[in-house]
Amino acid sequence: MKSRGIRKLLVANRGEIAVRVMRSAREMGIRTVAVYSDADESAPHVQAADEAYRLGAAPAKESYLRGDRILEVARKSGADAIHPGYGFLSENAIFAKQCADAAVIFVGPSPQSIDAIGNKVHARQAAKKAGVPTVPGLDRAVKEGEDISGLATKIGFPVLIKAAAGGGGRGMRVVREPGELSRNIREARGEAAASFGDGSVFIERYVEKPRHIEIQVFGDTRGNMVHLNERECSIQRRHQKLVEEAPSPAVDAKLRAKMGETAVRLAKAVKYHGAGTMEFLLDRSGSFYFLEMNTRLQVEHTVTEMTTGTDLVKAQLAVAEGAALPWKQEELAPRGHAIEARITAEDPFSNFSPQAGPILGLAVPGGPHTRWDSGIREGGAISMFYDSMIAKLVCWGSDRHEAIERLRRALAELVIAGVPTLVPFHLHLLADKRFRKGDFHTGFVEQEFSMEGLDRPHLSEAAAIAAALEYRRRRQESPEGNGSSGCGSETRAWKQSALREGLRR
Amino acid sequence: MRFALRHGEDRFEISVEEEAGGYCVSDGKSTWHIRFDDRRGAVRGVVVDDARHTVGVARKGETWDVVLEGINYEFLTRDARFEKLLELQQARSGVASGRAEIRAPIPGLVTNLLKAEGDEVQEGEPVLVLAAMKLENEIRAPRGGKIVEIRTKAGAAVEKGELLAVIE
Repeated sequence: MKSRGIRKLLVANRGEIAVRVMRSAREMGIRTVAVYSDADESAPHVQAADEAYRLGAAPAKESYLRGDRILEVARKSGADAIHPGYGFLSENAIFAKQCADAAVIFVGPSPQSIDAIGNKVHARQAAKKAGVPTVPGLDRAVKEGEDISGLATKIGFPVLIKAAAGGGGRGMRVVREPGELSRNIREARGEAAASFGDGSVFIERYVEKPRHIEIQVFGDTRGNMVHLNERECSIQRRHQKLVEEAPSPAVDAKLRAKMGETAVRLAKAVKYHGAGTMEFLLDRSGSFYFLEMNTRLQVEHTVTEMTTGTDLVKAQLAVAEGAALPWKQEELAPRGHAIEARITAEDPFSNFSPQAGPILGLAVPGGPHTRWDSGIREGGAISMFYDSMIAKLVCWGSDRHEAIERLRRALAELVIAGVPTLVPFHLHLLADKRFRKGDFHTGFVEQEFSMEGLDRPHLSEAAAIAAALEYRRRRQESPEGNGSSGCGSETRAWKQSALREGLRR
Repeated sequence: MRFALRHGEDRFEISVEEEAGGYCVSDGKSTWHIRFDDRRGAVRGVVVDDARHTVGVARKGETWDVVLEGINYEFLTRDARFEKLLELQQARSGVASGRAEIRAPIPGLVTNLLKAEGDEVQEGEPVLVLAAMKLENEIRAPRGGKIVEIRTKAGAAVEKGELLAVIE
């Protein structure tokens, strides 16, 4: 393919990812165009761009999901490429096609690839064709009264019975022995019929305490394809990732090579180009099963960048221009360890409920190998219209231990006032023995981890004192004596110099 | 001077006095020596005895949001005298069965009426906002019921003890 230089890039997204994409574009001398909703008029992603255009009202349906308006902005601004970021239109084959029709480069795979592998059912078929293992199961619903004990034995126990119309765990059952099968199928059918009005059930191998391991793949339009190792994403809650790291403590060089080779084979089979991620379940025996492919840049691409010394957005833009991949496979072995903490406005003490609200105070961490990717600043707000992401805090270390300690140090520097955040969760997790040993699975946070015992009394005391003093300062009144206060004559030796030292920053 | 703080169900009453190099703070049982970074801005240093913390302090309406080691604490902060008057007034109005009066606990300016005559209110629900001592204080319903009478309006200056509203 002929190389086509991008001179102006429209970033069809908001928040931290829009800012992150624009940073790379700017380093490449590419001009940037932001689009925004009414809720984001003065957001950092708007200020990071050379030009900015309004899309519409705050709800995504009226703004960031309006492909027609985004293409109109591309035309008006003279942008020759659109980077979709993640979420919104990033995995929308129709939008990718509309870009092609409008002669605008869509920074991502072709609409055909999105269709061939972005869809879960198609992806499973493509994986089978390419000889990539998927979770063994029956590809059809279990028939009424059918004896499937033979089939189940072939699939391998334990098996999971799943409602076809299901979701939310209803109609789901784990069966460990053939003798329990028919009763459980009967009951699952009843539950599914009652819950969803459809009693059909599927059956597949139940992968016990699996890890979520994903492989970053990258292809160009010339047929080259590499992988950039794995990311460990098992620290999650309700399928929302909270912490990601690279490499995985459960993956050694041999398994990495095997999973990487498998991912590359599947990506090649669907003629994939650009950045993509193959998600796998890894069981305790080291067997892995393909789940799905994300045909876009991932939130957690940062840990891959930090362990491979790459800039994945620059590579995306280069590949979109028709250039060859900037790396060879042998240059991409992981170096050191990186770990990302998603800093979202969710309250870990209140069932991780998302919180909208203003960011009234913000102190951002710094220091060696510490990366802060954010789309919000002090004075901004977490809008109820979008996700609750404030920032990603990512640290690199020469090994996992150093990366964890560095992230703890960085989290201690971080102050966000105005909304509850995941920071206390992260601090608690990073101190957890099992986490530090690398001994966890996708159910760890929900089933085996607790926030209890974290709210230490000395902290609430200090917080109360700070609140009282600040209240007092703002009142700007002179203090009044109060005989019963307990203060005064018995004042302890005041270590002034030490304290002054303590306040120096 | 004394401050009343509420954090969820917890109540603190704290006294603050200036002393050399900082403040002496007491809750009646314990005493702490504090240095508090008096700059403006939401992120500050506070030294409690020998322990130094970086805190985020921000005002959110009538509450204060304080962040320490990543944990957000929300405090309702009031002058202790105001809090005491409020409690007395609420206790007094609770005595008259079937009828509760809301009286101004301090002289101030009614800046906002949050409810109208005829509205049903829950116990503790804000009824109006009284600006006093450079702060806006939400005056809450001492008990649930119907607001049968509002005796004031936004913008009105009221005296201490003045009847503002009646709940039945």
